[in-house]
Amino acid sequence: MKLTFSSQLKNRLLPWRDFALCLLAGVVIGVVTISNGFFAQPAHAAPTLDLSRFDDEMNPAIYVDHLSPVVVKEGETFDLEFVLSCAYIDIFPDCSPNATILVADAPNGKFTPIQLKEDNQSGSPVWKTTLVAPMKKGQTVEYYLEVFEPQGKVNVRYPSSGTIQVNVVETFTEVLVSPSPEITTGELVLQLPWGNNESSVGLFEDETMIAGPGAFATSTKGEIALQDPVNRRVLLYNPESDTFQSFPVHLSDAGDLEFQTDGSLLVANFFGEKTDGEESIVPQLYRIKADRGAIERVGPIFARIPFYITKDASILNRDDSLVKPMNAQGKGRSRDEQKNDRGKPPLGIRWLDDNRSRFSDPNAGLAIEISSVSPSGFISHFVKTNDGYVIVFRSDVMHVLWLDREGKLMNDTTVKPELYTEWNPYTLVKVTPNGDVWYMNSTLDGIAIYKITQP
Amino acid sequence: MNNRIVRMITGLALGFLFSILTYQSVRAYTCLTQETDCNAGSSISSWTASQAVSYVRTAQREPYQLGGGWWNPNQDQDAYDPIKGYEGPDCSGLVFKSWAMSYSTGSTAYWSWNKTHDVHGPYQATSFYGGCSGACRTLCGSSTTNCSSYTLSAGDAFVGVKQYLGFDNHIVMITSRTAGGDYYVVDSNYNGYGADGGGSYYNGWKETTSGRADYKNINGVKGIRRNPW
Repeated sequence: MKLTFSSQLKNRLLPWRDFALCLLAGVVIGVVTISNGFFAQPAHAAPTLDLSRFDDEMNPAIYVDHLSPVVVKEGETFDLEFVLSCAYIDIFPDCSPNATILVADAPNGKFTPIQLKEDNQSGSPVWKTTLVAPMKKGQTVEYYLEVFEPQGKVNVRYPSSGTIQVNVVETFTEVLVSPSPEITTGELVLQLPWGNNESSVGLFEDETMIAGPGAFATSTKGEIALQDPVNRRVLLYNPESDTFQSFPVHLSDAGDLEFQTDGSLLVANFFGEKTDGEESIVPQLYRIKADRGAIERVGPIFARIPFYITKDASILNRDDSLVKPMNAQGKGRSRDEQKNDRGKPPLGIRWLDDNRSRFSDPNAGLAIEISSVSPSGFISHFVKTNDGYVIVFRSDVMHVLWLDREGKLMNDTTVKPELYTEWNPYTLVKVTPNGDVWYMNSTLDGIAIYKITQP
Repeated sequence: MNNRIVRMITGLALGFLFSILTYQSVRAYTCLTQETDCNAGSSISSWTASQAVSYVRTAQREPYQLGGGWWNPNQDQDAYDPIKGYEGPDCSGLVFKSWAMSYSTGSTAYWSWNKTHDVHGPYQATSFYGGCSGACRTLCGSSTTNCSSYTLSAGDAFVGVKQYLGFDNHIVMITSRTAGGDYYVVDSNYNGYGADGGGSYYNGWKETTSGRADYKNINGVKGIRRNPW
């Protein structure tokens, strides 16, 4: 009986023995095939570059990092340096852009090409040339760059439209600044605790960041607008009625607000959002009209590194161009409209080293060179006011200088802002047309806005 | 065709299919998982600071993810990936890849890393603060000094620890300088709750002026450079 069962089982399994052996053989053949590289990644054909993934404004194929001299003295020798780097190094790791600069030393003059020379600085190539400023008062040196990268076959013009202009002056108004004066504190204007009710601002804390308001603005009426990204709103304080108004909007801590001459308030989210018609996240502009009715979306801002909103509805982009995201009717402008109608900042700044900086107001025919006994820090503000100019230097303190219309130093003071949440030296300090300087502090308890009145 | 031949062909085909599918799934997993070299990177002979700057800029408007090491450079938030997790590098993962560092701790060899593969690297912000085991060096800053009087270059980084920063240990790369003498850096920003208004991330990378802390002027924050630059 036992034998019968065994032989029956054997008879039943016997046909599957071939199946099992073939299954095993299949596995072996598979392993041999794989080990011979049959399923490995095929050798790459020559890579091709999809240029549609780039655009000149937000996502350039070749980054050009350059600081214009802004203003030079007649006959002065000055260097122009450019760092060129490919955004498509994932496709062409050995990409090697080269560049020609086209220079004209007179308005409407003929542009002459000059091949830039490659220099090595800290292991990175820098393209440079040396020019001499013409000996003719009021003249400008204009230039632009043509970049070509042979591997990706990419041509880039820098700037993407227009030219870079260097103002040539006969002389600078020289200003010597003494070491920063004793630290003072401005007049306290508004103090708010952390929270989410009508008269508080939101604080976000986790293991990676501490976030709160990243910008504020003041109007000529004394209103104070605060960006409150944590509570997803703009908070508007009216000092006459001592009341707050809340305007719901999604913001990031990177952004700005600025009152305009028509009484409206512009609000920008510099991190941005993805909106209809855009394939990626783009900075956004909003507006609260003078009637303070509601906040409305104006449209995208095509600026790669926006600094702040100006009082004429422009956005300072990468500190060398003004993007105009809104038309005269208050409607958003298209990408092309913003690209083809960029402005230049009316005032120029150029930090030379820790002790020397230059400032220019070409429309007023003014050029100032400031030397300081001790390191000045960087320049966060150069603003034309009703009475002259205000300059703010930032180091571990904030050094404010008031100059008259001829560029003579009238007064200076130093304050030490306190920041518990993130800092932004451009949007947390505001200079009003009458020369007052406002700044925001943040502490463990909340925020406080101070005013330094022009002396 | 008799049943025996059918069984043999079926067995052969199934065996072959099994081995191929097993290979592909193991390969897909290992190539997309953190801390592997499978197609995630390759050794290269050179890498400059300006290349590091273009690389770090590709993280613009991508999410920050603590411990993360991958991003799809489309300036948008991608969907959750079941193998790689949420999109976004953290600070040390971003600098590791941008500096084209080797996975071998302390090595100054160059490695080109695929952005979409989840590779964070062996260094945390504190490791960068401590000199990357020899793969980077301190240029300025100590527990009692800051970098205010030192000129850092594009491709260098600010690194700080919580004791001095106030928030968690953090590293950001410098991309260039402003006309006013400030630095542009790629830093993470608070972005509410989702770039689309309904997403889940609040922290995204952006090239910005200064960054979200006054790195240059904080005692204890260091300016560091990759070796051998």
